[in-house]
Amino acid sequence: MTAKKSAEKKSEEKQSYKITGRFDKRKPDELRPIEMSIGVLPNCQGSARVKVGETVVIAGVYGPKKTRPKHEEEKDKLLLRCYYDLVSFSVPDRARPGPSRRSTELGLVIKNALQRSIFVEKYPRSMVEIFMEVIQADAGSRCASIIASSLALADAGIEMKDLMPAVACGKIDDLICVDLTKAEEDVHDGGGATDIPIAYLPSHDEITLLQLDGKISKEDLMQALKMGVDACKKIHKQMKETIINKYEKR
Amino acid sequence: MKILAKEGQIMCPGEALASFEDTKDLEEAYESIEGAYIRGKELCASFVSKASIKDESIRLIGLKGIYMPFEGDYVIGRVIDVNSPYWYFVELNCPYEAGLHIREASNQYLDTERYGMIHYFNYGDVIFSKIQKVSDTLRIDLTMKENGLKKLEGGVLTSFNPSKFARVLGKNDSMINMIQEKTGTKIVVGMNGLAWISGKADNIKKAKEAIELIDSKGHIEGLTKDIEDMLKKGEKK
Repeated sequence: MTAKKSAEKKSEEKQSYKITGRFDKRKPDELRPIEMSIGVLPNCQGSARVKVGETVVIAGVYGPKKTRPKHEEEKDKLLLRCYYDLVSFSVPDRARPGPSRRSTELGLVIKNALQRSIFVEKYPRSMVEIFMEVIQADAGSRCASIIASSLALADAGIEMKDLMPAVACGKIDDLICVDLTKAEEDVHDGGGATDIPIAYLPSHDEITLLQLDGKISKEDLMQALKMGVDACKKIHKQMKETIINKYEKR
Repeated sequence: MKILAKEGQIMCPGEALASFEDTKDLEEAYESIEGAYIRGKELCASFVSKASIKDESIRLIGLKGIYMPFEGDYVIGRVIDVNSPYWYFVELNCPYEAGLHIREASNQYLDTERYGMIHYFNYGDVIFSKIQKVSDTLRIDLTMKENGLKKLEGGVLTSFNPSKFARVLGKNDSMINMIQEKTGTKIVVGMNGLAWISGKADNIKKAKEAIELIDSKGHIEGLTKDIEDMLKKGEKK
């Protein structure tokens, strides 16, 4: 077989793998069904449960409280600590309990994102701890964790600039879409999948988290971000409704 | 000023309360409203609250909040350290510990070397005191030198959300007086979200339930009637 024929065959194969629609028949800008509730844990100051498609996260907030250990105390602002954890049965292959490199990294990026939404200078010398437990994971667990943590912080009565929605936008082969599932993230055929989780502060029009896993052109990235921001606005609306419903129903 | 929020509206963090054309008016309004922040030409809520609008004046009633200490606040605290010379350290249901100097604990002189710090208060004691001073770095000094400030003995400590303090007391203390009368208990309420109840065990339970009801339904109108009904039910039993 000549080199030309081989290249043609490869090109045909790539064409045959071309992804024309989403696996769960959603539109490119359509989110998975989202359920939110706050005040689910009575033993902490604030809590929230968020279900995005098959991904379920519970977040609990403790604090503001005295900083421990004392040498980590910040004289003029609040110290925020975020703990992200996958429950052993949350993924198909049992997750090893306890902290891992991944959970440490996610705790840090979530902390950096959430810190932008809190008035940290209003609580000097104190500490807030956020514990996020992923009960079931089907992609987008860091975004669901951010939504749950933001709601839990609001439920705890901590002063914030705004609620913070988050969503993953990205590309499956050539299709730019939002809120990718695990099956979509795992696509390797054609152009493969690109996953871009973002967190967004709507009132300040500010992206507070932006990660990228895969390959994407500049034009596609801008389009994906635009779709992500629009999706975040929808989630933000639902977050507000969740809080209002809690107090109006009583 | 253009008011954007409605009376009784539940405000989420970041929601606009009012917009201003004049920056001076905006800053004046910002200083008068607790729990608001300035964003551009708008005044926004910074925590989950209920908007109260009367005669062009806006107020935010917190639905959940954290107690931040202020000078002159009457608080209930628990003594957590008696080992430092001349100082008692007190936990106040807030992120900061308070200090009570032995000279502020009583009018009488105490020879600490002879009697020890535990002469007045011991570890775990509950005290009703007043915040004398709050420093810029939020160091809190307490005082017990005022009528009514004392060590609370023999009762039960219960907590409620500090933002519901006004509701627990009621207008001219009407709510707390009603609970005390109907349950036959004695209640001391701290502005830091702690209440101390003393009396018979059954009565304490009833009073505690009433305070829990205020905590959960404090933002709804007609609360007094709900509390009355709840306490009447208890009487029938």
